[in-house]
Amino acid sequence: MRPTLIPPRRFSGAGVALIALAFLPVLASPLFGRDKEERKELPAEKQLRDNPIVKEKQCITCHTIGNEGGTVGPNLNQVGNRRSADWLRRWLTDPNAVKPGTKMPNFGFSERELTALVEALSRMRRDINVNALLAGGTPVEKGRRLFENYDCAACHRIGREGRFVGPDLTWVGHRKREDWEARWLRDPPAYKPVTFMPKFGFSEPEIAALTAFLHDQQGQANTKSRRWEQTVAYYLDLPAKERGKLVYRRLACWSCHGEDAAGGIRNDNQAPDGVTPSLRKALAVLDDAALERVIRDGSRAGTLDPAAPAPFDCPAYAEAVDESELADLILYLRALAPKKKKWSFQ
Amino acid sequence: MNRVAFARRLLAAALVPAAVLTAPSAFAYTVKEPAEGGAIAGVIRFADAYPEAEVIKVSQDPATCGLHQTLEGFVVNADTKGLKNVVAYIDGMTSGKPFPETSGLELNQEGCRYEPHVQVGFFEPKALTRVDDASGVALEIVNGDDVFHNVHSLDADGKTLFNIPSLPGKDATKLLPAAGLYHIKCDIHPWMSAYVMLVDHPYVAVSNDVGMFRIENVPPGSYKLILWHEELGRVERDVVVKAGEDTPVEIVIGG
Repeated sequence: MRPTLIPPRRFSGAGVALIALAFLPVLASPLFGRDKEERKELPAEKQLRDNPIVKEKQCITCHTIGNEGGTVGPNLNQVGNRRSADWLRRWLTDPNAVKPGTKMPNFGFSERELTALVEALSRMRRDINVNALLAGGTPVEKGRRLFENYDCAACHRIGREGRFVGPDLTWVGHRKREDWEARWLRDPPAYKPVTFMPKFGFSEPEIAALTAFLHDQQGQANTKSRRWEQTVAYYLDLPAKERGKLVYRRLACWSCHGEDAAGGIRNDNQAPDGVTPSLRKALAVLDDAALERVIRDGSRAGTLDPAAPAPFDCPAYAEAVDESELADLILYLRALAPKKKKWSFQ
Repeated sequence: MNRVAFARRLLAAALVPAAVLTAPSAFAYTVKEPAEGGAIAGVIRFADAYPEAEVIKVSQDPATCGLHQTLEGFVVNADTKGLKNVVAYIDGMTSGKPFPETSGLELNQEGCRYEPHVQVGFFEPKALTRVDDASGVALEIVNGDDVFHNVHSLDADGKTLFNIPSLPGKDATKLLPAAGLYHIKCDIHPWMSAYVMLVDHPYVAVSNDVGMFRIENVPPGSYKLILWHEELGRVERDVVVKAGEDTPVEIVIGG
């Protein structure tokens, strides 16, 4: 009698296990508050969270402080390492003047509040012992230690860690050249005056290590598990073009082509005017198959002066996207083009 | 001339940013009650098929915002196929009936939605509030939710006009400095969207649940009527208003 019962039982057990496995990446994701083990909070972090102004204005709706808070804006845990008191004051006084279009509202802080907040935020820092971090290991390992200690993940994402304030760096080594990364890290605002990325004042050995680490990021952070963006996107059941927007961000298409593919980002020696073109022009002339080819195989930028260093080309992303992501990305790009509306007054 | 009113007018004129303006410059309007006016009676409706209301899944604060939200880009009455939230106004009116008595502009945030979704206000001297150096029509922003919202207004080019916090259970006031259209959204709950149209004369109306609107007491004459809808954009119609009569305006979409 028993043996006849075993097969269905086994089957249902396997089914439960399969369902559990399918949800594992979702359950383990930060969305469900079960990220890896809690990091140890610094006293300044707890103090900032308990600061009456921070409590009253509910800063943690958007910002993570210590181990709590939202992900709409940057993590504030090491903001004192990357922003000067002067910058913090300018930012808090009028965020839109510093970063036009920012999501951060103008709270209209009083002088007293500004002083208190700048002081509290400036204390949000960790001592970074550069010599210790640069001692031992391969250049990539040194770079990883710097990346972690400078808390680059406050704004940048690699694999499933970090956020979308700055470009996603999961594939950065795949799309940038080392000389560019070094040039960028030395002085971001000199390269792109409107950038939100601060000048950290890295030493040359630090830049060499960070560049090695960044150049090593060729998507391996994503290969061990289901992709985070996919997990989130499919979980939320976003429309395809919204998923495409996540792909556009993940591949950091926007770091060269701008938000909403408007172009205009500096690219020295690119014809005709030294900036990346708006993708809208390309979208008007390329059909989906041609667009897919460009994304997969890359394309060469036109050159102004053959004697000068070449401009940056659009790299080949064939290895970086799968079929469904490519389809979503194209849908997103198509939706950017001035669309013929289905309904109109006429 | 009233010196205070004159000073206010000067101040307001100095504060008008060109970017916001879609209507003529401030306070060109004088009250001159029409002897016998006519009305513009309008309807905006779909000929046959009409767009379904878009429902999205909520990504933030589901306890307060719910699991789904219905977007209000197209609010169409199933029986009349009439389109709600179309703003209709006469272009460039410089004189006519007095401004209506209003209780001021209010924008409520309730369940992570704005109420009302589309509203009109009047940019007129007596509606102006002055706070410190700023002057404008006050928009009272009420947060009935237990979550934080930001109130971010953008012009037609997507440039930020203002972006202020709205804390749970607290009211905030924002002065709208000029006539024109204000788009308002929340960056934390990106489906939230509202529009305020400030007009510098009283000949304006918004289409109702069945897609109809009425502009009353219009001095007889020929006018350009402008209709605006957030998804459909802008359209103009020439209208001739006769004393004591209704002038029908019918806009049929599709078909």
